[in-house]
Amino acid sequence: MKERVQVLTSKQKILRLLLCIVLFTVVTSFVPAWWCGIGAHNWFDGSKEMQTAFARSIEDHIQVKLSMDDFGTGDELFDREWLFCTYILSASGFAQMAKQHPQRQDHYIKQMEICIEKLLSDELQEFDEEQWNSKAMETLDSDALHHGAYLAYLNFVLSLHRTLKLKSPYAKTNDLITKALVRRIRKNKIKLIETYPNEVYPPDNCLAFASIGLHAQATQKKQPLLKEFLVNFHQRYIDPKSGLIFQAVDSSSGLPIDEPRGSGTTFGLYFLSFIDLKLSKQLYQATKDKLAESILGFGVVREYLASTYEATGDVDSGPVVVGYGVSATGFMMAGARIHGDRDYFNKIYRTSVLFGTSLSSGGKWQYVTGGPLGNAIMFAMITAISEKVKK
Amino acid sequence: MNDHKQKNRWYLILAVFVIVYTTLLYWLNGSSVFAVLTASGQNTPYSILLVAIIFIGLRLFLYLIVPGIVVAKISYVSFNWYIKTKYKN
Repeated sequence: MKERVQVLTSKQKILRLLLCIVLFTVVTSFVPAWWCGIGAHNWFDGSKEMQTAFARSIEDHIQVKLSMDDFGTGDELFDREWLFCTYILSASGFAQMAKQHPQRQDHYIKQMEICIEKLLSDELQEFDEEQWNSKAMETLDSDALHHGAYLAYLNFVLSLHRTLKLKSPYAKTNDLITKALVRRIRKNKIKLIETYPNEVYPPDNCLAFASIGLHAQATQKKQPLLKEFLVNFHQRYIDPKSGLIFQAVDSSSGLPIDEPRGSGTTFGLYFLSFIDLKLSKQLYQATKDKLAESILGFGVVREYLASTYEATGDVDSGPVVVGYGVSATGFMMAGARIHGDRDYFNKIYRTSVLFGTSLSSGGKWQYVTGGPLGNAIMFAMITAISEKVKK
Repeated sequence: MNDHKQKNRWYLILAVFVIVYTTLLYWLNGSSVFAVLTASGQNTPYSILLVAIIFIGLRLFLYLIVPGIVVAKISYVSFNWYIKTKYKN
C-alpha cells in the first residue's frame, strides 16, 4: 500500500482526487434518478399489469379489519380521520380502475362497495359525530350543522359509484346528501360548508363540489347552482397572486385565515378534475409554477410559497422537510397524470419510490412506508385518469 | 495485517447495514402500523419517528450516496493501477 502511494506525485494525487469528485457528482446526479424512475413511463401510460398489482395490495388493506390503532398520528381524531380517508381514497382508486379497465369493472365496483359499507358504518362516523355532537345522516333535513368532514367525502364516493352503476343501492342516500350539500352551500353566505364547527377548509369543499357535479353527471340532471358555486370558489378562495387555494378561511366572513398551500391545492385539483378540468388545470399550472421543484431529478413540491416559508408541518401537509411537503408532493402525482405532464410525473414518481420504498412481491405492489392511508392516497393518485380519457 | 483488519471492519459495517435495512424493510412490509410519511410528525410517537429516520436515512444512503461512492472507489483503484502499470518499468 505504502509503495503504491509513493509512486504518485502530488499532481497525480490531485488528479485522482478530482477524478473521484467528478465521477461521484456525475453518478449521483443521474444514477439515483434513473434507478428510482424505472417503470415510471409504464405507470404514466396506465400499465394494466402495474395498476392491477397495486390494486391487489389495496384490496388486502380494505378487507382486513383496519382500526384506528393502525394509524400512528398520536391523536385520536386524526387516527379516526385517517381510517375514514383510507376507505375514501381506496374507493376513488377503485373507481378509476373500473373506468380504465372495463373488463374488470364489476370486480372494482365490488371493491368500492366494500369501502362504502365501511364508510357507512357507525365506527367510521365517530370522528365527525364527536366534533358535531350529532350523527351526520340524521341531520340531512336541517342546515344548522354542516357535517362537511363526513358528508362531502362520503358523497364524493357515492356519486362516483353512481357514475359507474346508475342503479346503485346507495342512490337514495346519494340523492339525499347531494340535496343537503347543495342547500347548505347555497344558504351559507360564504358559499362553503364547514368541515367541523366553525372550521372551513376550501380544499374539503372541492369534494362537496365534485360530489354534486358527479351526481349531476350520473343522473343526467343539471345542477345549475354548481356553476355559481365554482365561480364563487374561484373568485374568493383562490389566491389571485399565486393561483393556489387558501387552506382555511373564516367561517363567517370567508376571509383567509391560513396561507395558500401546496397540500390543499394539489388535493383540491385532484377532486375538481372530476367536474371541471379547466379549473383543475389552472391549479396544477399554478402549483407547478410556484411550488414545484426538482432536486437531482426528484420532484418535490413546496408546502408554502417561498415568500411565506414555514418550517413546520401539520396533519394536512405531512412532514415538511426544508420547505417541501410530503402530501403536496404525493398529491401532485395525480395532477401530473391528469394533465399529461409526463416529465414531472416521472420526477414525482422517483421521489415516491425513494421515500415510499416501492416493493413488488407475490403479484402485489405497494409502498412499504406508506401504511394503509399512504398507499390508498398513492393508489388514487397514480391511477388518476388522464384528461384525454376524461374528455 | 492492518489492511486485513480494515477490510474486516468494512465487511462488518456492510453486514450490519444489510441486516438492519432488510429487517426494517420486511418488518414494515408485513405491518400496517407505519404510516409516518403521511403523519404530521407533530404527534407521531418518537419510536415510530426514530424507525422512520433510521430506515429512510439508510435508504437515502443506499440510493443517493452508494452508487457515487462505488464509482469513485473504482476510479481511485483504477487510477492507482494505471499509474503503477505505466511506471512499472
